Order: sequence, then structure tokens, then C-alpha cells
Amino acid sequence: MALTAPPTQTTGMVFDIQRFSLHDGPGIRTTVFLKGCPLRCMWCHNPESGAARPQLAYYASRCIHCGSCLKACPYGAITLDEARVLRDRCQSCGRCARVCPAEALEMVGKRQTVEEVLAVVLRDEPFYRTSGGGITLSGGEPLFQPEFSVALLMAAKESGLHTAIETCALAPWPKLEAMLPLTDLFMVDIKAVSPAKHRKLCRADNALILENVRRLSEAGVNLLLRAPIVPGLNDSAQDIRKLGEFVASLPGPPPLELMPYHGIGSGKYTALGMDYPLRDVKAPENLDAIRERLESLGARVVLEA
Amino acid sequence: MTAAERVALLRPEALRASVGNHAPRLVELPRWTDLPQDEPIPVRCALAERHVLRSVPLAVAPGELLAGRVDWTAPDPVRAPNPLPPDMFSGGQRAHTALDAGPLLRGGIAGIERDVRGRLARAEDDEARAFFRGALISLEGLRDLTDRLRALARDQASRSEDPTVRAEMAELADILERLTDGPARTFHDALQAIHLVYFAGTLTVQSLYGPGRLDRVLRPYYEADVAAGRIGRERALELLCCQFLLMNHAFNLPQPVIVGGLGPDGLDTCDELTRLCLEADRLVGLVNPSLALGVNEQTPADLLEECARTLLTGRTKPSLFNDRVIVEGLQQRGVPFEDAVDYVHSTCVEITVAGRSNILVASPYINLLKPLEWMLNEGEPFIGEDRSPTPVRPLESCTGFGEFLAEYDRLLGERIAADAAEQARIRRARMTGWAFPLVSCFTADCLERGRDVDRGGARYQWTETSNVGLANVVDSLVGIRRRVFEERSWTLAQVRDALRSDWADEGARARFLAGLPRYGNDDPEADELAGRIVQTIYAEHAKHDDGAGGPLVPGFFCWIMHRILGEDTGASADGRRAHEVLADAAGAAQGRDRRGPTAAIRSITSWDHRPGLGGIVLNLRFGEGLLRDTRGAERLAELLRAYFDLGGFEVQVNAVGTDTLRAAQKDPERHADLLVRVAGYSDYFTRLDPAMQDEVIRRTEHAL
Repeated sequence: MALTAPPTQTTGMVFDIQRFSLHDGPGIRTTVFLKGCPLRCMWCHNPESGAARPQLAYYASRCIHCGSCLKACPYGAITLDEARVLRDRCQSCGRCARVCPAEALEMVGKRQTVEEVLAVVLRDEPFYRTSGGGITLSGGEPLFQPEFSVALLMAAKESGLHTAIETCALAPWPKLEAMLPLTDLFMVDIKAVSPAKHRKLCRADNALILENVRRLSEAGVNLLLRAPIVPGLNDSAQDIRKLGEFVASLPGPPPLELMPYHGIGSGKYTALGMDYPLRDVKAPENLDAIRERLESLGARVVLEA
Repeated sequence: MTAAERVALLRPEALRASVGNHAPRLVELPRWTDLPQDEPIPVRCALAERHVLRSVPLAVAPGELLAGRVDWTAPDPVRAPNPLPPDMFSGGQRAHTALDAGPLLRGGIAGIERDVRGRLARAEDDEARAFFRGALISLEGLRDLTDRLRALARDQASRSEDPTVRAEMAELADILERLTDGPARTFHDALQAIHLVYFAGTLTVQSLYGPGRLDRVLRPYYEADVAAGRIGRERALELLCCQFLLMNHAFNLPQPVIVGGLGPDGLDTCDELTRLCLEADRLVGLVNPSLALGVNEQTPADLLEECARTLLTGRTKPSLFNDRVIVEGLQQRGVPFEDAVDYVHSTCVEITVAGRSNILVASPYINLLKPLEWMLNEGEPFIGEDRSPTPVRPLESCTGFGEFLAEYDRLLGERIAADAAEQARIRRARMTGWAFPLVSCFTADCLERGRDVDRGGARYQWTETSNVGLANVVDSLVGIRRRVFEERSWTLAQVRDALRSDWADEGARARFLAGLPRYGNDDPEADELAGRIVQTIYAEHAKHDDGAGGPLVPGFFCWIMHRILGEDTGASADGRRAHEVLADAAGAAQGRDRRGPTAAIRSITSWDHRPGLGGIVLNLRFGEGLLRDTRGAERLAELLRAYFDLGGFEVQVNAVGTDTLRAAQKDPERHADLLVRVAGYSDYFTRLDPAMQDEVIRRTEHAL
């Protein structure tokens, strides 16, 4: 795919732009979080990223109980009891968030152009220069907004930035293929290798994911696989064996990073009026054993890539 | 003995001295009226200096390889009421630089005396004659001080049963004797000479000096000793540790040491000795020296990373200075490159040229919020006594933000003019009313010119102010512009009433502040306004001089003054309540930088730092999280490198976790040696007052 002038007015639904990101690729980076995801993983720590449309979040601890939101809502979706937002009435129009002086009500997700996003990203260019960092597209799922992602990557490349994407790889191959010349690093999650398990944990089939991972590694791109380890859900002996066998069977094989489960995102579920299904799950304790097992199967495990 | 063993031996007493005696307990000056009134002032002052050097109680203890500290066990000196004009001895207005130990290193005390005697014989005017006569009297004091230290060392040598102590003390006494009679010959000699000069200078001026460019001054002695096989790395480290311990034991005042940095040939000077200085400070781990590293594009990556690693362990030193910005700033003031590279931070961040300066620093601290308070309150402060020097424009007559801002500029200009006039008066009064003969012997070009350091002898002379509360002013103006002049949802009278009530209506405060841009977040609107205010400050400073032909140079740091000035400042339109602390240095107001360190850095570097030689500070605080990540030091070093590329003046890092600080508040005893960056300097956390402790905790903790 030829690198032509990027369509800078392409828009995407962005829910966060995080500067000084240190864990999403090499160096000091800016991570652009895109809304919308084809998976619904039970442990998702960015629940605001699932739906493609903007959503209203309510942070009770910031509320100063001024009642501004009550007057602003045309749908009668604001209540003075603890929940504050009646989710079945709320249309996510954002009127209440605009008048909230305490930033307790916030709209998650904003339509932005490539140009607008890139302007923020480029502010940290001096830091990318000293650290070898750049831009990372994350989500949600960047492939869920393929046109915007490609346009953004193209614009970033044109500005000379190192580019990375974090993806679940659940998309028709041509969409990934379009990103090959624009992306310096692919970070792909493997949540479960068993199709049945994947359907159960993430509510989607994984055949296309595994096939895309294989094609990516065959294409010789810079690829980092990442496996979330969630105790009781995807860390059985069988899960680990299948993971190790799959990764070892890939050309290379590409490095595999383990990502131990943490419950940090649980507060966001409350803010969005969603139930958090994994309240009782703790961080994994047997990570070393899992790592040794994976290595014995031929996987190349890295700690923090 | 290894360096670590030496530190283990000497550190407990040094820690006790540095924690226990916050104020320097120096010997009292004689009554002015007891000095011979028929002598010219430089001679009278020299007699006072000699008295101090002869009577200050001194101590030397076994294990110490260098001498020159006050005996803290001696009874308190008699505190006579000081009849001197208070102007002569207000803080920030003396010392605050490094002296040039060169004359002592090259000729010993005898050599300096010979030189001064020759100059006295050739002197052509009364002022020069009085100056040289005074210098000789003060040098007698230095000779006496050195003799007493030597006698103490000899005494320890003869009393000790331990052959090692006997040998060490005999060697120390020999060194002190050599320095009385002639030049320093070894690294050990040179270190002792450097200490002696600034120890005596601090005593006579009763304000702080430091060793300054330590590695640079020591380098030829170190290289000669290494070449001759007289010294190894470990021995040099041990001696440096002794020096740093002695600094804490000598008196509790911040004492600057800056290492590395550009040399006069434009090449970076970092070498083994630079690294030894940094290592010695890590080993000693006390409040002194106030250690800094000069950073430039040639600074080795591994050295910067090593500093980052040190800072991430919770250590607060070294602070890092941008050679290019500071050297260019000095060149803009007419300092040639080869002198400019010898800059030193004068304890905190105030820039002076080592060994050649007579500069008043932080004179005074200017509260940038006060003019805004006057504007909103008919020239009166909301609290305190600080009134507008001129009538202010009635609020209702400001019909646009441009007019409002112009009035702020005008009042700020009036404030700076009044402060400049007062500092000039002090400087001129001292030029005729006092003299500092001893330190004049160690400040270029006093001896060549035959003039006291305070009477035109120093090569560089100017006055530095420090401007406090920049972020509060910017955030206030952003809010006033938005609410009053753009949205017109508030009137200036309503803003005034809200501030007078100290933001009593919480809802109104929240509505006023909702969604406003904040300085420190890389927001173009706030940063543009900050640049605008800074330009006013620079331009208003340029209109004045220091009272004696030198410039008035601005800076942006606050020491502990953001708390003290904040106590006397009413509520402000940025949401700050009355009496609360002002923003720290040149960065965002406390807790308002929400977009991480890169955004904070873009904001602070959005304006030119070079004219701000009075010192510009960025405090970065990181959570303990970074410690757990092996790449944390690498990332921090890269972040700092970018900050310097962007033209940042100075940066200091705090990596102490909030939990640790809270624990230290509850249990100060167990955290007696916990150092934090306060504002330009490091201090023991437990020694700060509770309000200041809270402030350190509140500073934005950039989560990593």
C-alpha cells in the first residue's frame, strides 16, 4: 500500500489520549484509545471501550450535589438517589455532563479528526526523540474503526513517528494487511486458544484471530503476543499447554508477554452503571510456573517487552 | 579504611549536627561601637572578622581526615544585642555563591599575605590601602583559625592510643601547616584548602558559601596524585566522603557543590572524579552538599541514567541544571563563555559565577498574586498589610480583558519598581557602611582592583529576584477572562465578593472553575498567558538596575516562600483559598497538572528560561510505582533529556511515595533522615512544619 497524503479529516470515536505511556511499546509514548470492540472479555479493564457510541459516566465521589444535571436532562434520566443516572432512560446526549461543574458526569467518547488527534500526539515529539517512543493505537479495538486507524497511522508515519497498535486481531485479513506498511509494532492479545473457551470468556470465536496471528508472523512484522492470565478463567493446565503449543508453532516464534490480571478497572464499571463480573478474582500467584511451562513448550516468554 | 567504613564511623555525629542545629550557631560579632572608630570601615570590619575567626569554638575528632567545623558542644556564645543596621545582615543578600580557593591553593596563607602586602605597598588610593590593610587583618584571623585546627589535630595525635588515628591526625596537622606556609600539593591538601576557604568565609560573612565546582577545582590535584601513584579511586572517594560529612557537621546551612558540565573549551568535563563526587553523596546520604550536575548534550547517557536511578530510590540529589540555557543566559548578561561555564547554583537554583560574584539572590521574593488582589479590592489587600503603591483603576471601568491585563501589568510593574528601589538602597547603603575583607581575598577581581567584594571588587555583580505564584496568576486570569469577559456569566464585582468571602459558596466556586484550562497541562490558552506574564516580568526587571550599575535579574523559585507569602494572600480566582500555599516554583499549582509530566514540561518550557538566572525550578514527583519497573530509570533519563532539549532550566525529582511521607508524619523519629525536595533545596521532611509537609504530599504525584 502506497503512502499517500493522509486523509486528515477522517473522524474516529476516541475515548482517551494518554501521554507519557510507558507500557504500550518502546520508549515514551502517547496511546490513543479508540471506542468499540468486537469482544466482551469478562476481565476487560476498559469497559468504556466496548460500545462504539459515546457513553455517560458518573463518578459519585466527585459529585457536589448541586442539581445542575437534573435541570439539564430532557429525558428525566437523572435521579437524586445514589445511582444518579437512570440508565434505561439515558440517551447519552451529554447535556448533563456539559453543565456538571464537578466533572462528576463525563461523556466517554468524542468524535475527533485525525488532525486533532495527531496535534496532541505530536506535542510529545521531543520525548519520542530522546526515548525512541511514538504513538500506540489501543482501545477498544483499533480494527473496529479501520478507516480512522489507517488514516491516523498514515499521518503518524508521515510525521516520522514510531507506530504501534494493540489489537485483538479479530477482523478480516485485508484490514490488518492495510496496516502492515504503517505499523512498526503489532501487539496482539491471545486470550484463549480453545475456541469454546474463547467464546465463553470473550463472547466471540477465535478462529480468525489465530489465523491472523499466523499471517502476521508469516509476514515478518515486528510482533509481540500478549496473554492475559486470569486465575480460574484461562490459566488451567490445558489452557497453558494450548497457548504454548500455538505460540511455539508460529514462525519465529514471536515473543510472548504475560499480563497478570489486575482488578484496577472495576471502578469504571460502577461509573458506567455496569456490573463487574470478576469481583472475587485475585491477581495470579503462579506466574513463574506458567512461564516455565510455556517455555518448556517452546514459547519465548518476555517479562516486560 | 574503606569509604563506606569511614562513613559508618563519622555519619552519626554529622547527622546529629545537621538535624539538630537548624540555625547556624556562629560566634557573635563584636559590638560595632567597640571597634576603633578612627579606623576606616574596611579595617573595622576586618577586626570584627578576625575576632570571629579567633573565637569560634572548633573541634576535630578521631576519624576525621579533614578539619574545619564548629564545636557544637561548646557553651553558646554570648548574644550581645547587635547594633548593626539590619540591612547589613538580612538573608539572601550576602554570600550565596562559591569562593575562589585558588589563592590559597596556589600560595598558602603566606602567599596571599605576601601578595596583599605587595599590593598595599603599591596602592594608589586610600580606599585600596584601607582594603588591603583590612585584608591582612582578616588573613591573620584565617591563620589563627588554621593554627587552632592544626593544634587540635596534633593534640588528638598525641592523645590517641590508636596508631591509625595518630597517623591520620599527624597527617592532618601537616596538611594544615603546609597550607599556612605554601601551596597545596596533593588532592588531600586541595580538599582541605577548599573547605578552609568557604568555612572561614561562611563564619565571617555569617551566611552560606559552598565548595562550588568541586571536581573542576580538584581535577589537576587528582590527576597528579593518580599519575604519581599517591592516590587510588577508593582513597579519593573516602576523602570526598569526609568532605561531605564535614559539611554537615560544620554548620547546618545548605552548601552548593556542582559537578560535571561544560568546560571552557565547550566540551563536557564529566570524568571519574565527577562520578566519585556523585558516589560520595550517595554513600553519605545527608542534607549537604546541595549537589547538582550540569547537563548538556554531551553528558554521557549512562551517567544521566545513573542519576535517574539514584533519584528513583527516593534520593533527592543531584538536581540537574541545563548548561546551555544557563551559559547562554549568562552570555546575554555579558559574561564570557569561559566564565559562564563556571556557574554555580547558590544553594538552591540562583545562578552566580563561582569565585567571581557579588550577587544578591532572592532579593526579594515577589508575590505575583498581590497586584491581582489590589485590582479586585480597590488597592487594598484582602488580608495582610501589603497595599498597592499607587491607586488602582476602578473595576467597572475595565470593559475588556485587554484593559484588565494591562492594569495587572501596570501594578506588577509598580511592585517590581518598589522592590528594585529597596534592593538598590540596601546595596548602596552597604557599599559605604560595611565591608567583607576575607571573602574579598577569594573573589576575583577584588585583589587586582584593590576593592572590597561589596564595593566594586567582584567581577560580576547584580541582584536577583524570585517571582512566586506564576501558576496562580495564570489560572486566575484564565478564569476571569472566560467568565467575566467572554461568557459574561460573572461580573468582576461578583468575583471580588466570592474571593472576599473566601469562596464560601462551594457550588459557585465549582461553577466558576468548571472546565477551565490550567497552567501545567500543555494547554495553549494557559501557556500563552503564562508567557505573556513572564514577558511582563522580564520587561519590568529590565527597566531597573541593582543600584550600582548591575542588572536586576528575575527568577522563579520559592524556597519555602510560597507557603509564607501564601499565608498573607487572600483567596484567588484560580480557586485557591485564603492563606493557602502558592504554586510551587515555575510549575503548575499543586495537584492541577493532570496530563502527566510531558504536558507539565511542555507548559513550563513554553517560555524562554534564559533571562531567568535568578533560578527556575521544575519539581517532578513520581510515585513509587516507577521503582518496580527496571526501565523506569531509562524512561526518566529520557524525559529529563527532552526537558533540557526544550530549554528547561533546572529540574529536581522526588520519588518518595505518599505512604512513606504519611508514615514519616506519624513517626518522625524513625524517618529523621528522610530527605525531600522542598523548593530548590532538599531538607529533612520531619523538620518541615506540618503545613509544608502537607504541601509536599499534595504535589502532583505523576503515576507511572
